[in-house]
Amino acid sequence: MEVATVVEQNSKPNFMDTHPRIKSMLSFCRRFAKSKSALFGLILVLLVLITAIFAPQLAPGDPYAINLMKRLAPPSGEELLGRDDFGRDILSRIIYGSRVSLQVGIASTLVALGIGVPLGLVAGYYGGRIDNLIMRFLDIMMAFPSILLALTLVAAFGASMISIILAIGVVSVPKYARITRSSALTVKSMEYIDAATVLGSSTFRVLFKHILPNCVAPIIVYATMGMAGAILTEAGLSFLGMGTQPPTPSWGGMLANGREFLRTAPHIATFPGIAIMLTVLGFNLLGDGLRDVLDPRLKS
Amino acid sequence: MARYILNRLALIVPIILGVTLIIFLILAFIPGDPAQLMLGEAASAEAVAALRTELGLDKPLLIRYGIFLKQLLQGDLGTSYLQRAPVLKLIVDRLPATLELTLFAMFVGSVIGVVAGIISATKQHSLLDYTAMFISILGVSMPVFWLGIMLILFFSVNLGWLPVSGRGPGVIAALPAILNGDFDPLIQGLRHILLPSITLGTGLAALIARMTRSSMLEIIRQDYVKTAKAKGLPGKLVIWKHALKNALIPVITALGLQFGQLLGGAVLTESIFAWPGLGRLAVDAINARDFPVIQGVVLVITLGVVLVNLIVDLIYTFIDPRIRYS
Repeated sequence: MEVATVVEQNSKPNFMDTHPRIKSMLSFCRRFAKSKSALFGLILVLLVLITAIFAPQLAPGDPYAINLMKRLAPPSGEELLGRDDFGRDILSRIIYGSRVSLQVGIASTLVALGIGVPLGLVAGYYGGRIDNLIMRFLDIMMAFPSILLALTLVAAFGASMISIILAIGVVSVPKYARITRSSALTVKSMEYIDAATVLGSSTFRVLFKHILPNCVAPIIVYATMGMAGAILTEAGLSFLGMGTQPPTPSWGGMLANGREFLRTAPHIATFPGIAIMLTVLGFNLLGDGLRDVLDPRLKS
Repeated sequence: MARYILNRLALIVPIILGVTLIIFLILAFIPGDPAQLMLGEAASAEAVAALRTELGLDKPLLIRYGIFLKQLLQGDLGTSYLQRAPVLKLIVDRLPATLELTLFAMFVGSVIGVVAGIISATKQHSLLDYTAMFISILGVSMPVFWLGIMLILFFSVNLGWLPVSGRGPGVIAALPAILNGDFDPLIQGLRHILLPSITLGTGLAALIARMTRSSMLEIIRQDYVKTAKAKGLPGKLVIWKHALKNALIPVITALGLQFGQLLGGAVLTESIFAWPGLGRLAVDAINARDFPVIQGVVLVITLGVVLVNLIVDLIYTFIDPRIRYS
């Protein structure tokens, strides 16, 4: 912090430093860039993102192409990560698998945010009976072991991408609602909220225009880490056979498949796990870094 | 205090009601008729219909829920469609295995976590600190099932030191044999539980290490710790006795909150190690559309989580007399 302000004072004022919004952005970036682990996390996340977007260009082969002649082939110079029990190229499957992980991670977090944040805002803002009702309902959801709830939901609605996303999203709703509620509670008693109300802003406007922007920091931090959790849960569901269905390449499914060949071809189970770990690590480090910069109070 | 406990116990009732109602509603959406599944594709329509009546599946959902609640009050969790045995018995049979695994994992997780956290805090910004913290963030990022598979690959397949799967005689069950001087079952049990509990406990260790470190860093800057050091008490004593006591309060909260997570992780760990516990029972039941078993397991696990949270709140009053409930 100290260093950053000194630098700002010493440098000559230019356009970039005079515009208030750009200035705060710059100071945010400076503080963020000071944390090596946060930068490392950001790079990991960007790498996975690029891999998912450009999977067809990056993959050395077709992730679905079966080649029984090369069944269980170990890693080699030609096929960096080897081949699985159908002779499919593991590197290509991991590259395509990033799409499933990211899609489920991002979409389910959006679902959780979409339900959890409004619930938390309403509970925090109104308080009293409404708050009580919402919070008791969330207590019930929290008491559920989340993986079991997700498993049952997927069993009920079928193992499609949509139901996996909804299941993981719904399971994470309580956490977002709680975080939003506690921020909303502190913000709502501030004078500018009274001012907005007196000036005739509608409740909807007060909630989303005035309260929400001041609750965003912890929500962003939590959503980043929540993405990590969602990716792990998707992998877990697929591992148990209740997630993404074969032959679509998903990291959890590939791992489950590799289990049967631990003795003969351990590489099949090893590499998808590393892919999951690096992706989740990226989101966790990024979340940690964002927390330190955005909301030092949250530092636990 | 007694009043507080009673109040909290009373709050469990609506939670259990809510949880069972939600699970009932979700199960109503599960496609596939349990009666058809039990009898197979070739069964006649009459036979399926008869079985549906026998299982009570022909009644409306709300009535079924009412019957379920009534039986629950009588201590009856219903009968498994698949195994034709009382659900309560299935759960009681499997519960010790899961409890054993979870407790061992908690032990592994909290011991490694607390020790690593304290060392990190006392040697803040050292290489040791950075290494421990990096390993711990790796630990929370690692999928439980991958870690389990890698441990099996290394210790069981490659080195052949430990069994690949199963529970063996079970550690708790092996205890009576010790009285007869027979340590063999205990050793067998420990050999079986070692890898599963490390698998399940690693994520917890990582989390506890991070929490202990930050909580410890806060505490060692407080006046009473400085006083203790200033009056000449040995540094180690101050850290491990005076500071640790207060630093552990948030850690115990986390431990309690993680219990539910741990039971969830047990679902995955049990299926990797073929551990005969509740988690596997639940997964098998979900796959087989065995509704009564799913309801029963969810109910028991939820009850466990809620009770553990209550116990954690009560433990506070013992470690921190400043906290009082009325």
